[in-house]
Amino acid sequence: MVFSSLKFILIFMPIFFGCYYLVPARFKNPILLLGSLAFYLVGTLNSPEHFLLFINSIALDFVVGVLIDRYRSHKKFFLIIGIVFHLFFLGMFKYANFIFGEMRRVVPEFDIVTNFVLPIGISFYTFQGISYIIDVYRGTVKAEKSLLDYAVYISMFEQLIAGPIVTYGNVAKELHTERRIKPNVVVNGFGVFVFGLGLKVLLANPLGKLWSQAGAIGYESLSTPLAWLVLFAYTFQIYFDFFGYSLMAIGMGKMLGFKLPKNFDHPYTSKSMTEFWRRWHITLGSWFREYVYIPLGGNRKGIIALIRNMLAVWLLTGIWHGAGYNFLLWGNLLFVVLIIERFVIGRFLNKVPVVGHLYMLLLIPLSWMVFAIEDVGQLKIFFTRLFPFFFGESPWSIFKNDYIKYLKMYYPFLIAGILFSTKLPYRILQKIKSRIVIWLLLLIIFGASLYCMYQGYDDPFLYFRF
Amino acid sequence: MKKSNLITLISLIVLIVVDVVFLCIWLIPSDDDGLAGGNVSYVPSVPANPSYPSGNTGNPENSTDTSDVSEAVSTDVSDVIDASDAETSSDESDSPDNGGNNGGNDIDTNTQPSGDGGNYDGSATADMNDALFIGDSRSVGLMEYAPIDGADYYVTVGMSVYNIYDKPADVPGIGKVTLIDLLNSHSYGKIYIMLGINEVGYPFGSTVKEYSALIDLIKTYQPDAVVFVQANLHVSQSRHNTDKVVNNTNINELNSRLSALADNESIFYIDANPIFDDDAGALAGVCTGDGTHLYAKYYAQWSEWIISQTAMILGE
Repeated sequence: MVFSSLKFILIFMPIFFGCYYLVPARFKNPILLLGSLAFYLVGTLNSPEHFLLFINSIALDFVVGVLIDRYRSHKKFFLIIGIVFHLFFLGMFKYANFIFGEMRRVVPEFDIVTNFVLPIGISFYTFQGISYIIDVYRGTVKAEKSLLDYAVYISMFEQLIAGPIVTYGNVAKELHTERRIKPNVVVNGFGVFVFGLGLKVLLANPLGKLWSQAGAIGYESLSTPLAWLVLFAYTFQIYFDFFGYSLMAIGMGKMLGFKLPKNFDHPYTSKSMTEFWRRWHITLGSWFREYVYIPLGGNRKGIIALIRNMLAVWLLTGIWHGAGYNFLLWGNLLFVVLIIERFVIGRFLNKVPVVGHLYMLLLIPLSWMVFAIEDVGQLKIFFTRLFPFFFGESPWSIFKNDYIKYLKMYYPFLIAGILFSTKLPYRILQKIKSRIVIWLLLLIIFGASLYCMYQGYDDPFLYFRF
Repeated sequence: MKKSNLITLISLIVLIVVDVVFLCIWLIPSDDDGLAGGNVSYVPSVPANPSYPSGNTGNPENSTDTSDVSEAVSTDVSDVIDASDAETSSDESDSPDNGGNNGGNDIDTNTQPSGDGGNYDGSATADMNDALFIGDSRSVGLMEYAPIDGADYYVTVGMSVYNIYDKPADVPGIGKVTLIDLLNSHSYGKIYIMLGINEVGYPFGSTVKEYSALIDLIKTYQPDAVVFVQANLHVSQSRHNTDKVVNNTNINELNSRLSALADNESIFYIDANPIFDDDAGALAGVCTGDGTHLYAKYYAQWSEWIISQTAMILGE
């Protein structure tokens, strides 16, 4: 059940929040757990083993946390058990199909065929579980004493399937206090939810359609201007899709009485890739910094160790996003760019913002190109259409002025995409003091989004492939 | 400490070398890597998030499907070629809807269809200056990616026999006109219709009735024109499997009813499906990214096939 669906907004939300607000404070955690499990169960009806794995994973983390706390002298042993468990199942569901498939291609005698379906949200809840047991191991948080509260932390529906990746420390306080639900916070949270919904349904989905159009035409038949156009469409789509989804999660978190961490901070205004990744999917970046980069020694052990650590982080970031050569290539590309920025051009880019922004204007879409096109052969074709001159090809298509056709169809969305990538609209929104104007705007966004969903214009959320 | 640093350094260098080699292999164009527009020898994978452009359910083709289908195409094509050989000596009665000869040949040998089609040779130059195409998104693709010199196109995305009179279409070279205005002000010798994919949700009987009324209307304004009723192209196997409405069972049912409208005198039924079908009778995975529309590069085959079919039928 995606957030941007009529089922979720018109059925799940009213029933769940109705119950949640009606029960006394001490029943709020049980209700939240019940609602979240129901939410997850609906999503996994076709594969009950995914639901069992989820429950099992919650229970195991809880037990491992308690054991680490009780037997500090053997804490490493328990930590390893927990991490191995998580990585095994993540690896099995996410990478086995790809790895065995490749092995079959190389070694014909190898005949293990796997056909695992990726459990919803596994990439996210696995990372939250690992972060919890490592934090307990390090002693930065105390092990949770209540299985109920721990289960609520992992399963809270608003962050379960697509982040943000919430650490236990983020929400521990709210989990244990009786959350007082303030009407103005709830209303505010709903506003954030509606805004995120609008970004997803009214902006990301139409732009996503332009990108799929390119796939239907076939990359080899795109003119160079159209190739760039659709690549920018994808660039905006992936941002507003994910940003919108994170806003919906944060908004619903507020409605529940939690303060979830921010996941995006105007990434497309960055002047360098380094800055970009501090602003894009912030909770994932901090997870890798906290649990991979720093444990490996970070930047404190010399240049060579630093390079190794960055390589580890970015290759892992690449394959976290999916099993495929293009994701490895993508992580690798980011690694190379970040190394060059760190040692050569980073300072210059920051000093001369114009150059930094132009550089990112080129680099952001190109990096998403590698991310988006999973077939390496197709990737190459798309690349030659972006830069036909290097390959002695004509930049034009048989269909003359193909880009004008699509520009005419999609220019409002592209302009809105550019605009909402800057800080301007958000500043204007904050300047509006009149609550009536704000609520009128949100009402329009809400109505338009519902209408589009009703018409069936919505795509499955991109990040569900995890 | 020193030793582990050395190992790290070496592995780093190895990685960078591998990267460079990989990039070189990847970027240097070779003759047979599928760069050329008309090349069909590779099996394209599917775009990351395919969805039906008009916003209905998206049905990602999976790679298994695609590769199966690519194999199927070649098998199918050899069948078609056999049929064409047999046909060379046979007479007209059974041939119009048994097409795909040229196009099929093209898939296999990667050459232009016009040259080697036996009895279609001279006829591929059929005069198309008095041709009019009427159709939905598939015909829009035909107009955009394989325009025929001199032909007019009354085509829009979403056109159906139910809404064709509702609003004017933008006809290149003529401007915005309604169908009736267009038929009133121009004279056509050949009129090609491909409609039906948007109608498959409606009862077949009423669709065919409307379709027949459309032909009657065309005949009223253009009594001398030959009308070609084109079979609707199939959808891919995966769309067929997942779509309760737009699937090949329904398309075949509609097509067979439409074929009955032909009188083989001034109304002919032509079926381009054999060019693009796989063994199972679905649109081959190599030919489509969204399961419904041809990749742009395949439209040329379709349009050349139309010309040769026309020449064959009218050349009798």
